Amino acid sequence: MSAEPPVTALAPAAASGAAQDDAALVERARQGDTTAFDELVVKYTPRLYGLIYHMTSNREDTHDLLQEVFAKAYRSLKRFQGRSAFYTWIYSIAVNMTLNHLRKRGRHRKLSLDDLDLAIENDEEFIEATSKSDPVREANLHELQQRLNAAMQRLSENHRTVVTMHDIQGLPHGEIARILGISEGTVRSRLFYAHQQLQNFLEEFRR
Amino acid sequence: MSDFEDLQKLLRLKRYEQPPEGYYERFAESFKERQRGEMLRQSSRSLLVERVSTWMWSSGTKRWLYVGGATTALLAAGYYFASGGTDVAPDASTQQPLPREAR
Repeated sequence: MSAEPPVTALAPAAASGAAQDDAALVERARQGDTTAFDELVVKYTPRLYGLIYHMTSNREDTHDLLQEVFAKAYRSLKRFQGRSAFYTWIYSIAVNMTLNHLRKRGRHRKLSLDDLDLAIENDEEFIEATSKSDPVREANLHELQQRLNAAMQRLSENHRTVVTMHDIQGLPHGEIARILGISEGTVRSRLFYAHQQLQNFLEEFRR
Repeated sequence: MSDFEDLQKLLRLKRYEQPPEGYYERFAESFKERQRGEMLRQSSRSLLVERVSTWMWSSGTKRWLYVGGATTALLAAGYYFASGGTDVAPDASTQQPLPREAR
């Protein structure tokens, strides 16, 4: 497991600077400079990995989808008008491709709990951050985390997407609305419903 | 602490679910290789198209006549074999036997 700090959304000021940097890299990449696109890949891999992984709960699927997302972005770069930030644009590609993948997966097979990647239970950094040398608390927390992962998979794809983007990745409502092409009100209502569902699932565990 | 705060705390902990160490670097490298491979394939394909079109345009009328003749011959041969094939009777050994009541 990696000892790197978790990757979350950028603060507004940093995001504006990052958008300018991205615009320059995109322009160079459009003119055929492949190293500029390499820089964008390095920059966005951790964030997009988190997004796709928390939506699919499967590392192999995440790896394959991530490759496809960047390949599609590179092929579509000439059509990118720059009306939105590159960050918003590539996030939209990643969300749409992941949702398509989940819909196909849902049609072919029902996901079993064995398919879920529950790697966090062995994550030393996670244990250290949460257990504080209390084995009982640690065991309970792991079980609760496993339940949470399973509960996440019981949410609909649309609800899981907003929970991943807002609660796990820390994206603001407005940004999520822009990426998904829906209103902020819809984002909030999906979050509200998803939280209720998750609380109900976890309540079953507490009883 | 409320149930909602508990839930938010748990969800935030999911940020710690990270891929194995060095994964991001390896991913960037493997994507770069894949991308360069695709570009190479694309450029060799466009090179072939370019060479064929150059040959077509640079060649004289004589070559165009050869191409036209060869195409006509191929079309005629195709028509001959296609029309001849419809007259062939199905192999008796592959036919299903009639049901007992129908005999």
